[in-house]
Amino acid sequence: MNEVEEKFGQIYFTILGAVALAFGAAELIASAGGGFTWGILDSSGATDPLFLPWRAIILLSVGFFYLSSVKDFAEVHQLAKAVMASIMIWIVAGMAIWTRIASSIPGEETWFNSLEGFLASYAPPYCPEMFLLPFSLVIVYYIMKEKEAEK
Amino acid sequence: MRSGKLPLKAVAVTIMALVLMALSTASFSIPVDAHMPGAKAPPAFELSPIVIADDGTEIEITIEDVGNYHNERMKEFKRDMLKKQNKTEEEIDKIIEKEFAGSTGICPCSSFAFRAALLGISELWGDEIPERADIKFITRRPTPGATQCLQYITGTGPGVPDVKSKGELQMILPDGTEVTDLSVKNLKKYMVDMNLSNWNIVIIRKSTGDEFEVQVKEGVIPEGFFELRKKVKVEKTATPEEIEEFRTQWEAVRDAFLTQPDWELFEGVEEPEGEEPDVVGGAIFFSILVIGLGLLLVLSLRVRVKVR
Repeated sequence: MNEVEEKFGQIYFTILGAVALAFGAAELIASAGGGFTWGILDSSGATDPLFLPWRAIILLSVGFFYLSSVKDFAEVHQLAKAVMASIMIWIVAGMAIWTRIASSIPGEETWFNSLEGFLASYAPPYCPEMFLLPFSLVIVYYIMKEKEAEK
Repeated sequence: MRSGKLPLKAVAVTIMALVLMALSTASFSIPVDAHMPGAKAPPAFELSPIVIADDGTEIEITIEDVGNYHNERMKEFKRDMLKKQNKTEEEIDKIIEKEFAGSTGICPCSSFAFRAALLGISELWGDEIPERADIKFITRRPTPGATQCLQYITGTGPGVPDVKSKGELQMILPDGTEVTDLSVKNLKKYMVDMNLSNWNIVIIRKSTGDEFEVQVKEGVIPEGFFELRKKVKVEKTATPEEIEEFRTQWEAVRDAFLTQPDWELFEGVEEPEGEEPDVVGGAIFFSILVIGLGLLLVLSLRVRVKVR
């Protein structure tokens, strides 16, 4: 990994960590008051209210891991922290996406949903992890860089 | 030395005995009274309470409150009946404990009356909280469950707690007969021949004269329910299979009033228009998801090829 890549990684994951922390704090406060929905962002825990505070704790942890990984970013242990934070996002976002896929197939009173109902199942709002998911995939580039460096 | 395992024969005999006991219990003909012994508990349901004001004090009446009140009145009625049969207090207590074990008083009649009252009050008062004294019900249903529910709400029944003012309850049957004695004993004689027209309550806002009629839809009560009911409860000529069938129908009617929306239960209530589903938003996300998964697949295949 060269200096430019390291610098980019530090700035990028600082911002991502801060955003994750902000989401986590917002969800923690929201979970005390029954959650909230703001535009396409869903922190209401409508589908699983008991999981909302846990999601908040996970997001806060993700934020802390990203932020603690930016110093000496190129060092393998620091990179591992960023990878772990990304994996946490992938797990929660993956669960949310799988829930949508599974609930989009059966209809309310029929075996299969209509096309309209199927597509409407994927409509917003979305949980914060789903927004963070594409941005967390940048770590894959650094993992591949690390692999190349090992060779 | 003896083996620690149970002998197979003993296990087989025990299992057979348990199965036979279960079967024999199921085949007993179960006496059916005002409530339904052996009825399964209803599914999980969420019903908002009826909120009224009694001389300025806000009161929340839940379906459970109504059920408990109905239960207590029926226990009282049973107790009086057994006293007339010269049973001792101890015998009476045992019989009542056995007959009312697990009974919540939430039956088809009480849950129908509760839903009808809830709907009627929301239609006539909207978001306002009605004064108890401003509420009048005209019921066509001469059953203890429905009557006692409405007595509890209007505060006109015996033993209703904390009543400062009273509403009004009138019973006028579909054929025009006005029933003034609303005691359980007197209602029994009007319960013989009932049909769909008895599942009707009119809610009246006395101060304005506005009224709202609640009539149960035809499909809510299963076919054959009224005939079966007469056989089971009035003529007492039902076979064990017919009793079981009636219990199933009884549960279905009760559960319908506890779980189904107003437009599915009552005539003249329109289904609210739902939100338009966001198909475009969903289609965009679905496309991103498919493209993303496709890219992930291609990437992982490329990595595998490189490794080889």
